[in-house]
Amino acid sequence: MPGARQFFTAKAIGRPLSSFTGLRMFLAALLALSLGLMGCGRAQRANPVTQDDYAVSLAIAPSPPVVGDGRLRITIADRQGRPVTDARLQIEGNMSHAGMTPVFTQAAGGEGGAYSAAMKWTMAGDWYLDVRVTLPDGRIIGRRFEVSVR
Amino acid sequence: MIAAGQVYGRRRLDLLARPVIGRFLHWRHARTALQVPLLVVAGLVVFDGLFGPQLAPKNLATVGVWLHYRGLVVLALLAAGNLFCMACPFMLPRRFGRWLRERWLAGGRPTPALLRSKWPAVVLLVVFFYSYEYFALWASPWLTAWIAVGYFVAAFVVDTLFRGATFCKRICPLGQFNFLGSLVSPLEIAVRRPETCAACRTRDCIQTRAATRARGCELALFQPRKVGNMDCTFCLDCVHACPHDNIGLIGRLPTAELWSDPYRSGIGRFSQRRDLAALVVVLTFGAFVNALAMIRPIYELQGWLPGFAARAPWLGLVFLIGLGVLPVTLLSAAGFVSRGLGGETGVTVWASVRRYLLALAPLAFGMWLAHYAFHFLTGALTITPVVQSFLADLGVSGVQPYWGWGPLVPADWLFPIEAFFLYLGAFGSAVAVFQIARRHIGEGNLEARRRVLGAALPWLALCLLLLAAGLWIMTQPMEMRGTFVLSSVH
Repeated sequence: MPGARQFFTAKAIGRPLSSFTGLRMFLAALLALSLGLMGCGRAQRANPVTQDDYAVSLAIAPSPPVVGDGRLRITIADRQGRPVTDARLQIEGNMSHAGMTPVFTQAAGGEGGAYSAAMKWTMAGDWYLDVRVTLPDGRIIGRRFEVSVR
Repeated sequence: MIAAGQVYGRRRLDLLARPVIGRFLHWRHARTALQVPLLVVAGLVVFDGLFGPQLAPKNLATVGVWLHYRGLVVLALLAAGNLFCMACPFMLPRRFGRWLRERWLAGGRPTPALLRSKWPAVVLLVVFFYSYEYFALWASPWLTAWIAVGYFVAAFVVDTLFRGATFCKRICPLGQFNFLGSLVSPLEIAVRRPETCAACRTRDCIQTRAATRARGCELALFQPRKVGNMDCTFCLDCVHACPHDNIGLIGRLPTAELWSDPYRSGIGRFSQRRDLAALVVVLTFGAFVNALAMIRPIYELQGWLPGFAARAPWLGLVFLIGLGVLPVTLLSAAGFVSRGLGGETGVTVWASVRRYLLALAPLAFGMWLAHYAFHFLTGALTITPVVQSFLADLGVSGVQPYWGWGPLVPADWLFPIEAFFLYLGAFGSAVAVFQIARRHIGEGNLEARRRVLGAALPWLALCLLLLAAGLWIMTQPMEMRGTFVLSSVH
């Protein structure tokens, strides 16, 4: 049995692999295609998570959450720890696996920085809760929470 | 000897003789025409998996692969045959590799001894099943895309270096799954008139002829001796190579090829192939392990057992029991009792096991079918908003994703459909068990019939046990967890 090196040498196959023009062209085409696709990128219009100075926390009732109706309590505070009121919250729940329709809800209230929303957990398992907050000054911040539903 | 194509009685259908589809499939570029659209889809899957939103329900990679590809593959196997291998996009770059091999590698090397069986595919399947659970592949568009990339690279490299469709026949885990599933398919590539083959001297169906640019079967399936669908990728090379137009895509009785164990071209006898037996074991018990991992009791059991809180040892235990201890115990018990009741004391227990093992293929396929159909039917329509979202993110104006799309059938229909597929598989396996026992023992007198029944009973009991396990799994609430532990993978 020839060794790996001998496999690719002139003795075994006529020419060293590195000199194959066709292979080079193929690899170059692959590289160009990859770079082209990377250049396109899929621009995500709604990045679920933002970097900001706000503290957004989530509490769920019942805890741990179970399949069926539940309640979300989301608390928002600014950098100084002051509660943020009068924000608008849009919440989207997605399961971690493909094939499940997302669940949308909105949070109301805001008194003392606490917002409440009804949530329907349609299946047990791992969920991602994306919270999109429109602040009173119009800025938008986002957070993603991981929730295990039983 | 029974000639291929005569085994299953009267021919009812030959798709290649039909006006429209027959003409299309006879077209030299038919396979390419089927592969190119899937290549484009594969490209989109890779692109979106790498650069799209890393949320499985919203990414083409995860929705396309884990819902639609799997669902459509099993439905195609049930309704027709190995259509995915026919349209496999991974084979297109391989053509360039073949050109490289013939142009620059002196025709390439023969398949090395290490790869001359299905053992590499068996190992890869176990690794894949474990990785699927450990890395939560179903939840990761990024990893899903890399699996597709890995497939393209592996098919290209292996088939550039080695002759004889090494990747398809001995390595590709998807292909092995399709081969097993196609044992129950209603169509097969087969000879139309055996007498024409008997008179043929050129054997174009197995040879490559530079003059005609026709390529015979690369998987070493010589049509006159080919039996059934094992190892057949529906590539149609033999159809295009045959100068007598003597090969068809022919209807048959599903599972009937399991009833006997003739010598099969390119394969040998099923009962003498240990690697094939291992493949059937992995795909049979793997079907149950794979489905078991997505239901609540398995997580409750994990929480109840001390020392198995971490994912790796827990999955290791599940796989050790599910793909090791249980198969060995159940199969050896069935083989032992069957050998005793059937009066076949001249054979070893494992020889007896290998004789009946392939009869489990319909039930295994029924389990995969029930599982994948569940996912497909519950989420098939989510592909619509995912594509809408994809287009919208690429800047196509006027497209708004409507996320209300989801199930293909009402939720109440799911369990009856799953149960139907399981019953169908169990019925196919039960018939195969009886037929195998009949052929080996004969049924000339009352004593022989009693032995047939005795030999078949343990295997029927195993089929019932697996059917009950499948039904129980399907009645459990689905609960896919374990994603967050590994969310740092990407």
